[in-house]
Amino acid sequence: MGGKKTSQAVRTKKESFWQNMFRHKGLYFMALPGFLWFVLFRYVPLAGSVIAFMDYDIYKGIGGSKFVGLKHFSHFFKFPEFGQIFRNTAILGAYDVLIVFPIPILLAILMNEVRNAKYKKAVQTAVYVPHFLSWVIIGGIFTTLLSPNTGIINNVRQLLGLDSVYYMASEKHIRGILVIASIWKEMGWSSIVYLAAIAGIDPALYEAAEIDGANRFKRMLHITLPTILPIIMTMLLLKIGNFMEIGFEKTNSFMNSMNQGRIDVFDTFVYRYGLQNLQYSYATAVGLFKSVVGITLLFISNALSKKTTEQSVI
Amino acid sequence: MNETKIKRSLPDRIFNAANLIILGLIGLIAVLPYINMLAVSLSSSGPVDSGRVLFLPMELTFENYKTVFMDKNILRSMGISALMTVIGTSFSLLLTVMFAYPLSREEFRLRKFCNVMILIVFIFNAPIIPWYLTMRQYGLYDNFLALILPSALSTYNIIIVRSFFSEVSPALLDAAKVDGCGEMRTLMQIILPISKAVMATVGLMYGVAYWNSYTNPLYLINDRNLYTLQLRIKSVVLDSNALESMNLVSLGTSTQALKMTTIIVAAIPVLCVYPFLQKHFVKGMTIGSVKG
Repeated sequence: MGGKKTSQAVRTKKESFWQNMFRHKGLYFMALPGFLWFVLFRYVPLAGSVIAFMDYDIYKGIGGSKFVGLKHFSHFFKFPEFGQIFRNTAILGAYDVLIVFPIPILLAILMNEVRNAKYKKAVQTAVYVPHFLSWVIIGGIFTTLLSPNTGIINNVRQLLGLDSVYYMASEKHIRGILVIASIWKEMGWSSIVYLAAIAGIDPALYEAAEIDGANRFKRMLHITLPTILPIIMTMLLLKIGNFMEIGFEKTNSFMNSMNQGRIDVFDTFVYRYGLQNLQYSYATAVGLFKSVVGITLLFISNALSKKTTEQSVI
Repeated sequence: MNETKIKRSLPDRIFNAANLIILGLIGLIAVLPYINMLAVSLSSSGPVDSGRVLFLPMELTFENYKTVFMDKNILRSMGISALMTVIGTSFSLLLTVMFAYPLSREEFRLRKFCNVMILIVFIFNAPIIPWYLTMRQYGLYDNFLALILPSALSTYNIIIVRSFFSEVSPALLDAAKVDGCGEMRTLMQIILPISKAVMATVGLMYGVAYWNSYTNPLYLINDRNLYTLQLRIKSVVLDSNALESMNLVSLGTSTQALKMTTIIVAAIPVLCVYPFLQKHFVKGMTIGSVKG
């Protein structure tokens, strides 16, 4: 078997690309649709990003539009809304890392301590569900539950003798609502990674610690946490790498004219200026800026990850 | 095992109880919103509008569901979403296995090139406006194909299928070759029958992605007659002024209850396949984390 393999390897090495292509034409034919799809639906649009450096005219096309260099970028940086979008992205991103991120870890650790399998399964089933619902539906659920007159939250407030609050229109509350919605949607699902890592821990470790007199908390602190630390690190860096991705569907599902100032981010801005105001080149420039910052962050966190955990996040 | 049970100390038992209570509360918080919505959707307008419905329906009625299911726009949107999901998922699966199979075979010389190609666009988020303009130039605007073609493939799913295919024993492929099977026949008749689990995982992933897709239709569908369910919900529930245009006004129903009913109706298909989702998605996550 080994001899046969090497002889085949030698033969394929001698074979030219065209000979290989002819001999395995079936494989090449099969790959063609997927290959074409990526070219047509991913790379052609990517190349179209050059309109960020043009005054794109939809009737003249890319060839006929005027080249304007960095005009749209400098315009954007001077724009008062730039500061607002940048601040919103930074704040929402920071909330994501500081508040939303640790909760699934805690949930996984607590979940792991449950001995009753049925109870565990029931809780898991309940907390995984929202992951599969779209942000539009989640937005709808929150909007109706927080509605000022008929939503349950305000109904309970009224029962307690408090004033009802129009949460969705309140600049003060909207970021908090987004954070809660993110936690509610993803906490269960994100905990799976950690739960899997914890399940891989050798039970002998716990037994040894128990014999040495370590109690539940000590075991969690000195065994569970250190073993899942690498995966926590990887997930954290991945999250930081995706810092710019606050998510169009998420913010768009919660945004209205009253709270826009607090949760307007790059993607919602691009949608408004590109699709509603038809400023294609300007919106592309903003989108490109976001993508470049995003990939820079991703590479930085990847380098950090390689250094700390010897694993790449990409 | 029994011994440890007997020896369990008091602080240990307190911890256990507290842990169960905390997790129970978390589970409850996760579920209560649906219960409230279900209760509201089954209540008459009186209790709903005066804000008295909590977790049990008051003055039980099915009027809300009747109204929603009689609304032509919602029905049409449901049909479009269902069609998009079924056709899209089948198409995506076919394209994915056809692409992933060569990518798993060493004989395919463009393997490295293609792997890098799909990875680059996976990590670099290209701006959406040029994408939108390109789709319009292809004529993928305001028609059914615009709902399917632009989201036909996903790098993530290709990687999952690819890593599964590369585990297939070479002896099996050799045997197929000796028997005179072409590559396509090998894939369809030898490989796919042993890949049911991964097909289910990836199929469900595509299915949920199609059903829930929002950004693509938002950009590419302007004609209200072609609205998918997600677009319809956005306009009915979140942009509240659109409600009158929906003919959703009938006696004995409140707008709040109708909104909740619409949301429930849109979530039901996902909840119906949820048991499978839970099983297969966890599997998909573990396969996906294996670096190929």
